[in-house]
Amino acid sequence: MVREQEFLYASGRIRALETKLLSRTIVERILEAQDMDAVMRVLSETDYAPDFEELESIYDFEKALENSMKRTLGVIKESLKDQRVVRFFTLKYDYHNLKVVLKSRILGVEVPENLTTLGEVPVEELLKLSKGEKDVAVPKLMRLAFERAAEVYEETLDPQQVDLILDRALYEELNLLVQDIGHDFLKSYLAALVDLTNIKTMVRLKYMESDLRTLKKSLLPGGSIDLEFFEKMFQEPVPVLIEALAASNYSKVVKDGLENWVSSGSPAVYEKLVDDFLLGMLRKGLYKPFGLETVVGYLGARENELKILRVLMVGKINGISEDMIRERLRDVYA
Amino acid sequence: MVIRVNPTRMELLSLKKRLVTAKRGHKLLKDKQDELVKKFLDMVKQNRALREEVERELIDAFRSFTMARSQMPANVVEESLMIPSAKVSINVKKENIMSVNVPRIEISQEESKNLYPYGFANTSAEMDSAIRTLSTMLPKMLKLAEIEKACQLMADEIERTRRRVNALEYVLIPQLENTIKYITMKLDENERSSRTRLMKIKEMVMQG
Repeated sequence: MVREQEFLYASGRIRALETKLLSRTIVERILEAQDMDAVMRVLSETDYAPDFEELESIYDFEKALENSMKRTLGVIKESLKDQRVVRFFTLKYDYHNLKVVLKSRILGVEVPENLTTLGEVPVEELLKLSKGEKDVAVPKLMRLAFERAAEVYEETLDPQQVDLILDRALYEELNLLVQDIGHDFLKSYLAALVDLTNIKTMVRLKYMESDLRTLKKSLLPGGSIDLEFFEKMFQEPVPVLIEALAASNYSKVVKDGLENWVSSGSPAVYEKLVDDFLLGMLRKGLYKPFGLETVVGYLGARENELKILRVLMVGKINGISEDMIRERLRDVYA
Repeated sequence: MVIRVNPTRMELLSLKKRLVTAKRGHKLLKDKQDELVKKFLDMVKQNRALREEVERELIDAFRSFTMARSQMPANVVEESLMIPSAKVSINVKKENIMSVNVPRIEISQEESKNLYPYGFANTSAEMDSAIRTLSTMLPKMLKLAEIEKACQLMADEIERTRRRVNALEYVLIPQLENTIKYITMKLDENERSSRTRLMKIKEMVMQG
C-alpha cells in the first residue's frame, strides 16, 4: 500500500501543470481553424509550442505528441520516489515495442519508426531478446510473454495471436502492478478500463462473426464483470447485452454507445463515451488536494489530451468535416 | 491514282480478282468493326458504372480508415497491420473477344481463418470496418482493372481495324478500280487502233 504523503510533492507540481492542459476553448479554436497554419497558431499558444516548433512537417505531428508525453513522464518521474504509478501508464508502450520487435523478426525487417520512445525497457535490449540472446535486461514477465507469443505464431502463423497473447500479458502485468500498489482508486480504474474494453471486444467479435474460442482469447483479465458473462452474452443480440448491463456503473455508456453502434454501424460514439467515462473517474484527482489520484488523474488526462489532439490533427490534415471530428472528440479533463 | 502495271489482259484478270478479294475483305472488316464498336460501347458503359462504384466505395473506405487512424497513434496502426493475415493470389488468363486477347483476372482468396491481424485491447473498433470494406474492395478493383484493360485493348483493335477498313475503302479499292478502268480503256484503245489500222490497210489493198 502506498502512502498518500508520498505524492505530496508531485501533487504540488501537478497542480501547476494542470493549468496548462488544453482547455475546451483551445480545442474549439483548433476545430474551427481554417487551415493547418491556423491550427499551428493556436497550438503555439499552448504548452505544445516547443514540440510543434521543432517539426519539419506537420505530418510528423505524432513525434511532437510523443515528445510532449515523454516530457510529462519525465517530470512526474522525477517528482516521485515510487515509480510504480508511472509504470502503470508506461507498461503498454513496452508491450507495444515488444510486439513490433517480434513482428519485425517474423517478417525479417527492421521498422524503427514503429517503435515508441515512451517505453522504459531499452529497445536495444528488446532487439537482443528477439535475436535469441540469453543475457538481456528485459523483465521476466515480458520475456516469457515474448517467447510464448513467438511460439504460438510459429504454430498458427496467425499474426493476431501475437497481439492477443501480448495484450493479455500486458493486462496480467497491469493487474499485478495494481495489486502491488494496492490503491483502490487505481484498482477500480483498471477494472473499469478492462470491463469497457471487454464489452467493446465482444461486440467487435460479434460483428466479425468470430467464434467463442477467439472471444476467450481476446477478453482481458482483471475486470469486475465475469468472463462467463461475456461468453453467455456472445450468443445474444446486442440489446440483450445492454439490458443485462442496465444495472451496472456502465449502463449509460453501454446504452448510448452500443445503441448508436448498432444503428449507425460505427463504434465511434461508444469509444468516445468510454474515454469520457474513464476520464470522469480520473477527475477525482482534480478535486483531491493530494494523493495518488492526482498523479493518475493528470497522466490519464495527458493521454486523453493526446487523443483529442490526434483526432483534431488527423481530421484537419485530411479535411474531415467538423461533425465527424466532433463526434469523436473526447471531453477535456479540467 | 493508278497502279503502274502493264496494260495486258493478264493483268486485268488478276486485278479484277484482287478487287473482288479486296471488296470481300472490306465487308468482313467493316462487319468486325461494327461488332467491335458495339461490344466496346457495352464495355465502356459497364466500366463507367463500375469505376464510379469503386471510387465511391474507396472514398468511404479511406474515410473510415482515416477515422480509425485518428483514434490511435500512428505506430500502433502500423504495428497492428504489420503482418497481413489474409492472402490473395491472382491468376491472369486470356479471353478472346473478336480476336482481341483481353485479360481475365481470377482471384483465389485463401480460406483465411481471420481477416483481422491485430488484437483488440489497444486498437480502435473503427479499424475493423475499414479493414472489412477494404477487403471487399479488392475483387471489385481487380474486376475494374480487367475491364479497363479490356477497353483499352478493344479501343486499339478498333482503331487498327478502322485504319484497315479505310485503307481498303479509300485507297486500295479505288486504286484497283482506276487501274482496271485504265487497262480496259487502254485495251479498247488498242483494239480500236488495230481495227482502224486494219481498215486502212484493207483500203490501201483495195486501191492498189
